Parts: sequence; structure tokens; C-alpha cells
Amino acid sequence: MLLLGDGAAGFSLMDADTLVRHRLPVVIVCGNNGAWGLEKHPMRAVYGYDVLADLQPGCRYDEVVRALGGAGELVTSPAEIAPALRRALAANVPYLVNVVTDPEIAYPRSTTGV
Amino acid sequence: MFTLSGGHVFPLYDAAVKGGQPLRLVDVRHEQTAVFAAEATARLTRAPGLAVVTAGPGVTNSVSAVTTAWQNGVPLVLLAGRAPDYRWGAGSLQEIDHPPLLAPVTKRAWTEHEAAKVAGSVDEAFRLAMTPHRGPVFLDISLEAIYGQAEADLPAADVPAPFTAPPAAEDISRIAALLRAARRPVLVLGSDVWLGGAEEEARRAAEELGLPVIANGQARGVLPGGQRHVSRDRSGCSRRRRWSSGTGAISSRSQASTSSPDVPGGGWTRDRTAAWAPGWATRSQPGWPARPRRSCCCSATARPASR
Repeated sequence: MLLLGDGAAGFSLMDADTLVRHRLPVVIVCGNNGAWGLEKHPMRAVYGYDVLADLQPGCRYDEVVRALGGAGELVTSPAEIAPALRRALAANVPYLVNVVTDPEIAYPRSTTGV
Repeated sequence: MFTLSGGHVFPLYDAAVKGGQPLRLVDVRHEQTAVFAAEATARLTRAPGLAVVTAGPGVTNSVSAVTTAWQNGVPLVLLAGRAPDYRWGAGSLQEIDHPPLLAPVTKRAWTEHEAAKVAGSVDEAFRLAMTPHRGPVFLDISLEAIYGQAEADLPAADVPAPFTAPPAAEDISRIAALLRAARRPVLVLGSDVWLGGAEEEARRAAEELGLPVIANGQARGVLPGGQRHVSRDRSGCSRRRRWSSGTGAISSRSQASTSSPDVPGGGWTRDRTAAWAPGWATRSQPGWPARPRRSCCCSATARPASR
């Protein structure tokens, strides 16, 4: 099982094709807040605004995996998560559970990383 | 500015948003795309491209595209964030020493550590990128310097001249002498003809000298279709010719230093051709299978009109 954000999906989601070609039924859970969360909120904290931190809200990365030969679905409420994961685990193909989350929720962190 | 967001470079975004001159910001999904896009704008506009990436993976993700710009001799500046100096070596977020990674594929790769010198270093990066032979330049700025405040004299806001100074008269004389002595000369035009703003002159030279032309890279289109282009069997043509002029065609870094005064013709020889078109030389090496000999496409029209 792979957990990633929507930003990270931009770097490597094409390799869902690799999973399909090698018949690897990986369950991919994409936390999709439509933003670079680790940039959006820190930039607001420093400058009072943010720029260059937004991605497409609700972008259908699950449809990308479907187009590549896998499957997936969009999840927009917490109650849908568990049934979606069950379907993903039973799918026997690469399956992306696209969980839309709230971009206004800041990633909880206690350090700046530097 | 092509970029992918990162906290190490926020001050550059803030400056782009609040600066006196609006700067169009284009955020991409992979740093490689940012650098490819910067290269493309440079090729199209002949002004240096700009990409901004964050420390660590932002830089390493850029390397393939920077290498492409290096091989193509395209002017661009890649600015990057960098982990802080005050605890360098402790493994800060995305800490890695970038310039050694970029040095082999840039005209210069260095780090600015002082806020007061950032503006001067950025200016230097753009000037260096635009100075022939053009190419990518890398500058990373430590966290203290990029977030720091300092009093500094800003460089003049002039745009680096996109076109080069006229060539030295003795070089022209030498080329003319070689051309007069050459039995079957061919004119090779490469991307620098366009990037250097020499397309009109190149076209006039080709027409007045009546030379067959090999147009490569962005020199394609310098001559209108139907003119005496040599577009096929270039290896055959090069084998039959005594020398070729690499006017602007030199696009890989190795040639910048291949001009040797000890070589007859000052480096305008097969040796020099080999540097930017290694395939030509390889195919003519003894022991390598020769390509099927075809009639030279330029043989009918290649002879200079008058000599």
C-alpha cells in the first residue's frame, strides 16, 4: 500500500502504468488537498499570504490510474474511506483511492525542518 | 519564472509578487519541466530563461534538463534554495551541496552565502549565461542569505545584450583566406546563429558566397526552403570536403576549447567537426563499417558560384 499526496502524484503517478504492466495490485491512497500544504501554510505564516502553492482542487488522479489500466475512486467524506479501501484491496489491479481533504487544514508540525 | 514551490525560495516568490516589475509565475509539477520550460523560452525569445527550485530534490530533479540546456548552449539561470550555513553538515531539511552536482553541466555553479551579495551574484549569473558561448548557470543561496536583510547597491537594471560584439577582423581575414583556398567548402549553420542574432548575416553570407549550407538546430529556417540546403547524407558531404566552417554550429561544451593554434586551419578542421558531430568522425575511422555510399545530395549544386 502506498500513501502519497496530490503534489507527489505529479512526480510519479505515470508509473501506475508500471504497476499495471507488472501486474502489481498496489493500493494507492492519495491525500488530495489540492495544494502544496507544506508550502501553503508556512508561506502564509511568514508573509501573510501564499502564492504558487495551489494545485487543482479535487483533481481526478483516480481517473489517471483508471486510464492507465488500473482502477480507482473519489472519496469526499470520511464514511466512504473504509468501504473504498475494501474495494481497493479486493480489486486485484492498481487502485487509487482519491481522498479529497481540506486545504485549509494546516499540517501539524512542531519544527520548521531547518 | 518557472518553479515548483519550496520554502527555501519563498523570498524569491515574494519579490516576484511585490517587485516593481510584474514577473509572470508559472508553477509546474516537476522541476525538470521548469528547467525545460526556461530553456524553451530562451530559445524562442533569445533572452535568458529563469527557473527557481527548492533545495535538495528540487535541484537534483533539475539536473537532466540543465544538462540538455548545456548541450544545446542555451542561456538560462537556475536559482535554488539551500539549507542554512549555521548548521551545515547536521542534516538539515533537504541539505545537500548542489554546486558539485551542477558544475559539469553549467558554465558556473556556485553558492551565495551573504544577503548583501545576492543581487550582484544573480546579475553575474545572467550575464554569464548570455555571454557566448551561452549556457546554463547555477546559483544557490543559503537560507540565511535568502531570508536575510542587507544594504546593497543594486546592479544596473539593463538587460544583458543578447547579441555579441562583431568578430575580430583578423578572424574574418583568416576565414576568408581559408574559404578562398578551399576546394569544396560548405557552410554549417547551428543554433548560435539564431541565439546570437546572426540569422540575417548568415543568410547574406550563404547567398553571396554561393555556398552549400548545412542548417542544424535552430539555424533551420535561416534560409528559405529551396535554397542550396544540404539536408541529407551529411556524412558523405563531410567526407568529400576538405574543411567545413562551424559557424555557430558548435553547440557542445567540448568545442569551446578545441580551437588549437597548432592545428592547420586553427581548429576549423575535421578535429573540430568531430567535437560537435562525433558521429561523423566515428564513421570515418578505419575499422568502422562505412555507411553505404550514396550520391552526395549537394554534388550538383554545391560548387561555389564563383571562386
